[in-house]
Amino acid sequence: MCRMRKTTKNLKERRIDHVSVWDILSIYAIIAIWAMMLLNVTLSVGGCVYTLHMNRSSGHTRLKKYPFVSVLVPAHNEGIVLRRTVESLLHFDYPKDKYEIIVINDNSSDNTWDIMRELESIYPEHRLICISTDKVVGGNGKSNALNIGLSASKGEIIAIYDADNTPEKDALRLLVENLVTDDRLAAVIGKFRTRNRNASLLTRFVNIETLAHQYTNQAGRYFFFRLCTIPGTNYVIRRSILEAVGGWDVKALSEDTEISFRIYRMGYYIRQLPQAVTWEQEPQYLKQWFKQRVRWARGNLYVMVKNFKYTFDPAAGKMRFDIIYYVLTYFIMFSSLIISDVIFVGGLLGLIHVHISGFSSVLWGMAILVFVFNVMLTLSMEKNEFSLLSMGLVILMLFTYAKLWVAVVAKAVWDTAMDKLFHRKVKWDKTVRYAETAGSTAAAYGGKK
Amino acid sequence: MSSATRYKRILLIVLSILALCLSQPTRVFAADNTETADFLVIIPDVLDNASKNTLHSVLAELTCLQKTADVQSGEEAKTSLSSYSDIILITPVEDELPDALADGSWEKKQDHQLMVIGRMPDAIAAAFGLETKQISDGGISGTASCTFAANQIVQQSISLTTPVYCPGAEETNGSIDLGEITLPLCSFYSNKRLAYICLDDCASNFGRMLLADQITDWQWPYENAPNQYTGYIVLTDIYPFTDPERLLTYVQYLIDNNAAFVLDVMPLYEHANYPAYTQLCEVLRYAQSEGGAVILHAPVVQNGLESDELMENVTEAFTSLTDQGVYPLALDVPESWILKPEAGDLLRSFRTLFITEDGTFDTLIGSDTKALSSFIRNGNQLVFPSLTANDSGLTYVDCYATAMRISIDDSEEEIHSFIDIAVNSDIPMQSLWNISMALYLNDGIYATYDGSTLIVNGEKKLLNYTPSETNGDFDYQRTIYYRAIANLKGTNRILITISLIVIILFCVLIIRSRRQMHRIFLEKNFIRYNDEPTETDPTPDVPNAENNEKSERKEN
Repeated sequence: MCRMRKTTKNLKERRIDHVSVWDILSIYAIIAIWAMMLLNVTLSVGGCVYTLHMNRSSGHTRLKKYPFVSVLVPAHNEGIVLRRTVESLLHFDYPKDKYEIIVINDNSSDNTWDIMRELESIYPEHRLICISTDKVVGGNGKSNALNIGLSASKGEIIAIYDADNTPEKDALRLLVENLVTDDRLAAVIGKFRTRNRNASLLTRFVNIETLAHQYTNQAGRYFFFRLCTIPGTNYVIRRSILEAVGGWDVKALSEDTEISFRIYRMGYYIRQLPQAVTWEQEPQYLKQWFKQRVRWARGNLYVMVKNFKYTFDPAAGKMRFDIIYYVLTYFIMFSSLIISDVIFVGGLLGLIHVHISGFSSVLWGMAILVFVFNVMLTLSMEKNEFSLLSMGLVILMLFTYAKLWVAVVAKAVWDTAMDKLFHRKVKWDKTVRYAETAGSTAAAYGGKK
Repeated sequence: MSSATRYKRILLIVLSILALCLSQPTRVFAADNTETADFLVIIPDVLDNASKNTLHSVLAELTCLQKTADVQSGEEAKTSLSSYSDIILITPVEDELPDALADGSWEKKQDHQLMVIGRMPDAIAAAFGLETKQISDGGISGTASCTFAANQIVQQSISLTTPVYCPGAEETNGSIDLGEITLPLCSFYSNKRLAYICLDDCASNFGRMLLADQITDWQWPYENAPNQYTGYIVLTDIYPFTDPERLLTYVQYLIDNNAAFVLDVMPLYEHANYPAYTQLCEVLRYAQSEGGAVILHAPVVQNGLESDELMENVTEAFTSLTDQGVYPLALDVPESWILKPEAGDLLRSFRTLFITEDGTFDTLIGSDTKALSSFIRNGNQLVFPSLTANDSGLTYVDCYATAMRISIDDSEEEIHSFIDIAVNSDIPMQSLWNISMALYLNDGIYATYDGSTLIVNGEKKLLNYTPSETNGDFDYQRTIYYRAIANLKGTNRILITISLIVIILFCVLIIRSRRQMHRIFLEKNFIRYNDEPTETDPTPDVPNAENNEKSERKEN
């Protein structure tokens, strides 16, 4: 009897066929994502323990003599927000004769100069200086503006505030008091909060993200490794250190991260002081937010590439851990997220088939719970942030906002590659500011101004 | 005519012929709908429960006897009666009988045979020159008894609605004890042209055993007793992970008791070279060499049958056994697969099939007689589940091959007891190696056995047993990749545990931080400590420090 039969693959051949590229990539993505998640969990726990400890103290250390501080505020077309910022700086509880405010009006085309003139006339008793630059001297980004301000300053301690910041009264004093108590400290950073939290859904996400980042990455890294990265605003740094490192790197889009690495290479360290708080305006719209984050990511990539050579140099000190952390984040985490998303979409379309089994929906759900609880932990350490609404926002964030990070990094990588390829000059993308209503800020402040 | 023109003409003719040949429709050998079945089963217009049960039992036993049947009412049978020479009437109603039966014209033909189950109609009795005597006006209970295979007598309590006695039987089997009188259970008249079973409800095993026996007897044309069919001892639930030592003890017990036996092995598709499986196959090979037979259990399917997948799985399972020198002779399939077209290819691939009860036979029977007939016409050698009257597990029918099953998971006492009883009974038992077999699977894999020579894929296979040599350490040859895969499956549980621990830790820290926030912002007496002043300058210069001391208190 002759019958037509289908072919059955040999058992051994079938087993070899099961090993596909997608299986291996899937294993890599799973291991990478879970490893990063557990790392962040560890940092969160450390950050929480550190913050709980710090909250037991007011943060103040009485000084017999307060050093002179130069507060630098780089401003490029910041007319909308500058007045409020400068007025907040003028109301520091730091000794009035012991600090000056230098606003670097960096090639502005709006009414920044007029506002500064007006403020100078209103507050003649304060040392309020406005330096205006044109497109020849200035207009080359924040680093360049800060260097100009540094050259005009006289303080032995330099404080930096962005033009959209409204720090709390005791912020500067807290930072300075803690800086001078330890000679090994090169800088002390404070905490920044989102002033316009209620402006849009995006700002609510940003608010949660910034809190989680500061408690996890900053406080957590400080707790375990005594590592911190300057956040670009609300920090003080010794003038001597700045002069030793030659000021800020004008090529770096993330000048704060870049200078942090140099500080650690010099053997100093940076401390995080959560009691020193400033409130800043975050981008309300996706386009502005995306531009800002791409700039930050490009800056971080620049710093990572510039400092990668020190990864295996023992003399570089603890900075090596930061490089490894950035590599893990920008390469391992980024690639694993892309791979997992591709496999997910490909699997849905029936184009990709992964043979690995054993990962149940329960585990996927547990991962989401870990993420949510992780973020809720950071929110629990803030006033008016821990709520069911916040939990709902966190869950929503996971499936929406968090996914944008991949696009941000992808764009940053692309732009960086294009800059290198076509030898383009690094361009600083200004973050657009918005006038805030009372409603968008009052709740965020919690009634505080 | 030029050569070019001639060439073109010839070419045109050839192409036309080719087109004509290719245009012939493919002949499809569909089931012949006009073929009449072996039996016509006539049922009353209104079936009560007893009649339904009897119908199911009749069809079930006809299937086991590999006979086809058409089921019709009296009205439907009026026009088709002449096409059948064997008719079974189930609880016939006098007024519903087809005319040809009622007037006796059908019964006059010498090659026609009629079986009545239930109450004998007067018209039928009259057609055969018999009388009918009603025993009682209403229902009556009694005890039916009959002798079955291996001279095993079975009794059963029964109820009859309107029992009718038909005297003048040439042969009787069994009896019904009604107290005051005893009736024959089954009677044959007119040289077995008429058979009468005085039972209303044949639902029980007793009824089915009776039907199998009596239909066989009724149809047997010779003087001597009908042929006896084998009862096979089948050891079931032998999984690839079954302890080979335990299996060996039972195999040895069967061999020592000179019992013909069958080992029903569950399929394995991967890692057939692992020690657990090779050791099991050692025992199977030994059993095979000592006269035992191995059959392959069909895959357990939970999500719907697919023909290609079934064939592929069975091929792989078969190969995993033959690679170890074990040659399955049959396939063990669930009874529900009989009527499933998706299983058709697989069922036709094995000449010998063991049918396992899965509780659906009774409901399947009668639902699709055409599919049933189609299955029977495949010509498989079928071994059906045994019919038993007690817990012994032994078969009570020998008119078709049956499987007496005992699970390897039962206790040693139960298994030994079962084997002892079977071996010491008069049940005809023989080795599966006594009958021929053939099977065809994917990839050209086939096996045939003609009663003496086993051929597998064109090679003659010997059944003698030679112990294989193995070294103690088996190299599983797992690369880091396979180890990672295996670990990932185990890691699933670990990761879930880690996640739970992390969540609990987070909850504790959240509670701790919320308490602290509560104390800081809501408790009036909450005290925060201040650090000691430093000695940076002998000249105190703290103009604003006093203002801030109001909001700071020392912690005790």
